[in-house]
Amino acid sequence: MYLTRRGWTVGALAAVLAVLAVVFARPIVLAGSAFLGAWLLAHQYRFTRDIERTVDSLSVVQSPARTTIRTGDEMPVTLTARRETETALSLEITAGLPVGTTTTEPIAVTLAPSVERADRTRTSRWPIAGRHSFDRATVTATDGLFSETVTVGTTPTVAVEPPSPRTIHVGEGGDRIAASYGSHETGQTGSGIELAELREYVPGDTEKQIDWKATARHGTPYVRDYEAETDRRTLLVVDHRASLATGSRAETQLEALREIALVIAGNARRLNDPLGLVTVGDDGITNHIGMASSVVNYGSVRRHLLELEATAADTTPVATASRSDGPPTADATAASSSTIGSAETHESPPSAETTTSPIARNATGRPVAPRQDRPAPAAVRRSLDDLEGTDDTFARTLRPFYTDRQVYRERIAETPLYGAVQRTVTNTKGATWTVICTDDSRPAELHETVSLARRGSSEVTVLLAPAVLYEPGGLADLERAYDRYLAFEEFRRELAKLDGVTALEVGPADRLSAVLEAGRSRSRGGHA
Amino acid sequence: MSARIDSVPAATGGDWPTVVSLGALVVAFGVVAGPLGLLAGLATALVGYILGPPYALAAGHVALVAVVPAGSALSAVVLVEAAFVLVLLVPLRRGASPGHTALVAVTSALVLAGVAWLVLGTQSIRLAAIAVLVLLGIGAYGLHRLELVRLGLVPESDDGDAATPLETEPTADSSAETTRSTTEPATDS
Repeated sequence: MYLTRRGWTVGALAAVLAVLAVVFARPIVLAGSAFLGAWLLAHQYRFTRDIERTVDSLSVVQSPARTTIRTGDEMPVTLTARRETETALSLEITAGLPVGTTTTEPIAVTLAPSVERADRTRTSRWPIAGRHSFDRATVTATDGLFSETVTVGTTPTVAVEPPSPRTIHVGEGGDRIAASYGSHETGQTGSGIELAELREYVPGDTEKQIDWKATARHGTPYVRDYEAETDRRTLLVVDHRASLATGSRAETQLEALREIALVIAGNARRLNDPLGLVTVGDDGITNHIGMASSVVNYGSVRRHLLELEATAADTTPVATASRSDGPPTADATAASSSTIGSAETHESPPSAETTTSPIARNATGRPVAPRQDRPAPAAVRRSLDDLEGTDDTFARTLRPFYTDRQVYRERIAETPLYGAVQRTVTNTKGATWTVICTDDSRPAELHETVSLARRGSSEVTVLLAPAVLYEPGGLADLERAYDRYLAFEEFRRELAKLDGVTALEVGPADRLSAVLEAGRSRSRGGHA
Repeated sequence: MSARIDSVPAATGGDWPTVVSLGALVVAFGVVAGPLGLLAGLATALVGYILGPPYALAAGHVALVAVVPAGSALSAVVLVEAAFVLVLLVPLRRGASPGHTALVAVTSALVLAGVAWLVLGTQSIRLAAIAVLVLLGIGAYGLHRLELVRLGLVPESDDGDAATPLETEPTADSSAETTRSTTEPATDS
């Protein structure tokens, strides 16, 4: 219990009267001091009784909107106070937020003597991971002469999850891949330790391959084949252009792809496979670590992956890359004037053709011409050269088509990802497993890039981060999100159809589940 | 709702019981000291009405020095002091148990004044003044300790560590309130 300023004043008055009694030598003034002392003690007694009754009848509840939250996120916290006994005390109640939790203003309510209930809700920010318990609410009671502070109320606990992406899904069409990364089969036999098969001798087999014991058992020559032990050269091509920054903080497409790329690099290190890295920004290659032993390269590859940030947007090459085949249309012209991969681009609703037309559509809803029959750039150039020498009707009809194709190839070749693959993968000697980490915002460029990488290496894996699973608010309309996911899935399957190409989706598992559940709900509704 | 409780005023005069008690004080002053006493009584009542009873008690006793000569009849002093008792008790009628509070007030006044009178019988007025102030301090500290005990703010050990909060663990009722307040919050953020 503490005296307020007014309480101290009354106490000082009593002391002054005692002094005056001595000065005037008049005991009657001392009676005044005694009366003031009695007045003070009576009010102190009343305050003691009032605060006891008040605390007994006071209910203070601190209610966070959720008990689990992501680091750095915000949520409302409500402080509710109610007293059932009327007293002369005024109460100021302040919420006991955990250390590290911030609000623009303290969460506090004041209960005047005539007020029974009050509540206040404020938004709080939770920047520190861990389990945080509220302190009891602090109640300061006063009657104007005395004040006292006690702690009352509930102490809820909030779990703040660390900022890493939740569960990252890697798979196809919503199904996780059964086996991710590790030992790999070459499909070849040769010198090694693991026995592949025991087979009959055929002309051409060397004498050293003959298994003499098996030969003795069967009466005919038998040879042993062993699994060939080879190194798989792994080249990571990581796209970190501006569009890869889509997503909330620490949950961007680039963050998810970075996690997967680090896993692949780690596996390469574990298996002692040669490792290389190419990072691609909006202006082209930002870093190139040549193919070398993972013992040598792993540290620098890991460091570069961890330091990777999305580059600043540069719309010029991107817009060019996203052009659809054929002459510019109004749609394509409009697209070229905007930043591909931005939220506005993805907001365009997919039409009914998305799921019914044989013509695939990219993630923006614009049609993408079938790619299986596209001639290689060299073939286009050769066909154009062949047509140059003739001037018949056939040549005149086909020449504009091939000319336009040639322009398209040149434009694609100017795009950062295609250019990077052209410079690195195609120059890499020997069989290489190329892993391209990118998003779905530039389907035309990606298709050509994958085709190019396939020609330059033995196997290509494309890790695609669909924008619909990352955009903040992208799941506000689940029906529309599902349509966009269907468009993405169609594009992914188209890539996966290419020989030697594996196309996998990379996205937050919870958001993907929400989208797929929306699709299932739609199907059930359609059947009903 | 947003006002800080630092600014909460203590109850001052203004209602009719307070006015009546102050009027009785004026009358007592007039009876004891005549027109001059009436004037002093009016000034005291005005101070009490504006600033509150403690100031009336202080100003009134200082005024008594001026209007009542030393060695006046005991009956006159008792009459005025009775009016002061009225001024002391009237504000205490508010609250949950005014009887107990009034009893504490009267007892305190009697004890403090009685001790002063007893000391004055054998010792100087200076010692009497000191005795009143010391007794007041002891009484205030005793009530302070009583409050700590009643609120459970006294630590278990005697090493003077931090006090233990009063409240017990959350009950089922408080959990239910959590649910209600979450569903219907009054947001003003």
